[in-house]
Amino acid sequence: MPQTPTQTEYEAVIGLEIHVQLRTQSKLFCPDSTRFGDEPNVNTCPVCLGYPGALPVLNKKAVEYAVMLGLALNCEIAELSKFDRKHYFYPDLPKAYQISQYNMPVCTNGYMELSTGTRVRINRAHMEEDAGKLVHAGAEGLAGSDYSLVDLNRAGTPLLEIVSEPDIKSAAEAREYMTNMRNIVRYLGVCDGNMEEGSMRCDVNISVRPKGQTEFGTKTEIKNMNSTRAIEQAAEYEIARQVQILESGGSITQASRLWNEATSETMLMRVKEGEADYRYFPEPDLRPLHISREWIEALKRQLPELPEERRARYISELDFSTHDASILVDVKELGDFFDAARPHCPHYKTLVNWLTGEITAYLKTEKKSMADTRLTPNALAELVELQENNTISSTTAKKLLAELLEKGGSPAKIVEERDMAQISDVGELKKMVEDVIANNPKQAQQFRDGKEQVLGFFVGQIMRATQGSANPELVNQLLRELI
Amino acid sequence: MTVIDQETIDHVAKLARLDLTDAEKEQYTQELTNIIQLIESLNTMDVSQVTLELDASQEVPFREDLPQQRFDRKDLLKIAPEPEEGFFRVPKILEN
Repeated sequence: MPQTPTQTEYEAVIGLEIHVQLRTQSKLFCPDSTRFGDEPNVNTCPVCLGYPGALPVLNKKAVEYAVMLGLALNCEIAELSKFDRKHYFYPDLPKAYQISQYNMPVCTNGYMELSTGTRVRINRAHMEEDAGKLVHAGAEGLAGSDYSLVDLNRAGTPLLEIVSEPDIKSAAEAREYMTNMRNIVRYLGVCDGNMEEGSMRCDVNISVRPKGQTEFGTKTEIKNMNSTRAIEQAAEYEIARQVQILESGGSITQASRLWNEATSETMLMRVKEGEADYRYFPEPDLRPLHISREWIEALKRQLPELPEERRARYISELDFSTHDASILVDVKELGDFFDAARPHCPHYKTLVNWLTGEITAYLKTEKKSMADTRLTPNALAELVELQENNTISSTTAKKLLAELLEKGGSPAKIVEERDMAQISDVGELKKMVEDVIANNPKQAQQFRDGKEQVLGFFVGQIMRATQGSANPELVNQLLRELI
Repeated sequence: MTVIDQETIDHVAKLARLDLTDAEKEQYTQELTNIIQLIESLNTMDVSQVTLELDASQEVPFREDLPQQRFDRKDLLKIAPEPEEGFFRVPKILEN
């Protein structure tokens, strides 16, 4: 990794293009399934194979998802937009053109606020169809392969391409922008937000310039990042690389670069020779798209609570730390779980601690999602109550939680059936403590002589006798009184 | 009147991945010039009052989001020159 020098101060100028696969059941212009992982070309038809004479018909749901996402990004929704043909020749595009939106996109002029105070303006978001997939035979990648195999199951899957203005100022901001975008699409339910499987793909445009300079430097475009972490690392690497080139008197070549996860470097993919000649023209097979005000308003009313609204609610109404709020916002199902459990649980701070602590750790180690566990919001609320009213010790609560996650059930019932309640009855415990002291006169004498650590021995005896269910604070207190 | 020159033919041929002989280039220069001049006659129409908005009376036909499998892969691949294990096989993309 190149070192960032200190003589001239540089600033980064970053813009993101994000492709969001809209989670419709069928394709954008034909009824084939959008299912992932099927046998090659099973979900194809004359429309997405580009057979002559086949006509596209627009999927209504895809339009609704595009509008919802546009609204969540504070965009203006065009009551009139249209589709255009973007031409290029590549085997993953059977028609030799992609149906996209060129000069009249469905969403324009939006923005997203970042925690740093930066407002990232969104230039536009337009609908388009995805291309197919290629398998290159005889080599690892495209280079050196003898021939290629085309699978067009993905061809025609609806995408929304979201183009930001170059308002992002650091690698960390680029990551936050992408994380927020992923949260938003998940909250809306318009995309599963899974970057590893390609449901969300992102190109990062980066240039650097001396601080204070108004014109932009030459930019490079980085592709192939499959996590938010990779975006941050790739941007960091690329900023440092460009600064080093400029510092040593060189100049940046405008190019597409690939992020290599294994080596944590960006590598040259292809040098750009001017704007590609896409020969856009209006798609004659599709009418202009009219979206009425009423339709837009109806979709606006259907919008769920968005991630930033949830964050604000947790922090200002419930007084969460920003750290806890982030966990429950970024992992939507944990926030949903909290919201479902909270009405049954006055001690909601303890609830949050369980969710952000033990439960998050469990999900990470077991590589599970909340839905894979047997724990219900009611059961967790009950567990918190049992702990808060001292019916069970925190050790017992932990044990019980592990069981609830694996097997489910009602904590109150389990505690009762297995007699797991902690003994907090002073009379009962006092009797036990007296017996243990009487049976171990030697150790009792040692304690009286000032050997503090012997106390642990007595606590251990009591815990063994009660199978861990004695209230430890009370045991300690009684021992000190009675020895 | 637009005249298509040799340079434009070379550019379009490159975009279309066509390898043309000199005789073909000559022929297409003439043919495309004729076509574009014919189409250019449309420019004499006054369309200043015509907008996309005029189409608004006509509803866009939408499709509900209901997946259907209407075709058998076997039939769709029949007209492909080189089907291979359910894929469309295509020639080498990058020259060595």
